[in-house]
Amino acid sequence: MTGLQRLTAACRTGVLLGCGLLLTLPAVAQEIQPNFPVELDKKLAARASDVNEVTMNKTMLKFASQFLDSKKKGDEQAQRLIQNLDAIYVRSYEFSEPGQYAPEDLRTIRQQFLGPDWNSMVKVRSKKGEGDTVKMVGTEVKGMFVLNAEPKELDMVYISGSIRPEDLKELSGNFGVPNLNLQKGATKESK
Amino acid sequence: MKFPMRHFALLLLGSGLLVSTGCSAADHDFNSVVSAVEHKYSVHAQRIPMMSLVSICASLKTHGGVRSLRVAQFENLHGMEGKDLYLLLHSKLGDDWQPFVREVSGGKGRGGDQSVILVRPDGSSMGMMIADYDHGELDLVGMEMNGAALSKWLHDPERQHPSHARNPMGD
Repeated sequence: MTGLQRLTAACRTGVLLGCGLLLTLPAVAQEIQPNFPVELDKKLAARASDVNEVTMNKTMLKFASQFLDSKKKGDEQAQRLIQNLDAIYVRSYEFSEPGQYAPEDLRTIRQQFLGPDWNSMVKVRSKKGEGDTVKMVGTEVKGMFVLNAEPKELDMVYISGSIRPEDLKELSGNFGVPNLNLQKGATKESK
Repeated sequence: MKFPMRHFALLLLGSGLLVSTGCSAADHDFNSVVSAVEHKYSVHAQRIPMMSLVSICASLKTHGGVRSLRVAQFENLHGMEGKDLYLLLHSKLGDDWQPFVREVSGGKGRGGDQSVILVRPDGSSMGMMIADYDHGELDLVGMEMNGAALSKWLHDPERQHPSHARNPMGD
């Protein structure tokens, strides 16, 4: 393959990647994460072997929603969902070995979502392999936060805006939100 | 006979000026990133000859949905780790460009792959800068997208193409 061909291929890949991401990852917010643990993000990212971060603000969500076809049933539903959202933040960290984040880190994250406006809706704790698996969902009328902590993985999804718990199932695995597998828990503890 | 020729020349010149003015800000951002990579890692960017023409073709094909397309590729670029790519882009592009996607795999010290996408909303348009680093090779792609035009083209690309126009007689 010649240099020109490779550059042309890179160009084509770039355009497709850009358009594809905007199609599949709708989201966003003008106000930058009012509650999101920015500082902790940096610390966790520095320790992680794999990092995936998706940040979409209101402007980007609005822009991305243009690519959905309101005549299609699924797209129409997604468009309605996006209209009520202010932002989606996805943070996914994979670690090469357990113990790369401390219980204090989780506590710091949770504390930001345990104010008077927030209610813990679902809390799942199960023994899995080397350590605990904790899944917690906190929700308020204006937002939802999901934390999935495993020994070698930490996932956080913060959706700012009006969203119903049942909508989370629709978002899971789509729009940059990882498949959170919320239905499969071992023991459930309600607050 | 003289007037139409002069008129045509002026029109061409005017169009050229308009295109160059519109592209200058986007070009500046893209070029500053390319220069920064070249200086920091002592490598030279490979560019596609006549990329402006390719960009115009892309714009025509997508009915203005994608324009100001720019591509640069670096080979044998080593020593880029962790957040290096993101930090370099952020320092050169400033706060107008917002992080959209950041992906790092392989971990620090292991020459991990990195992908960064930054966007710059600007009214109905959005600038996008895509950087992908993989085993010593860095690809940079910059473009401007018009949401309405791109959406129209994506949903029904054939309808807008004259050769695909439906026969009014229905056969």
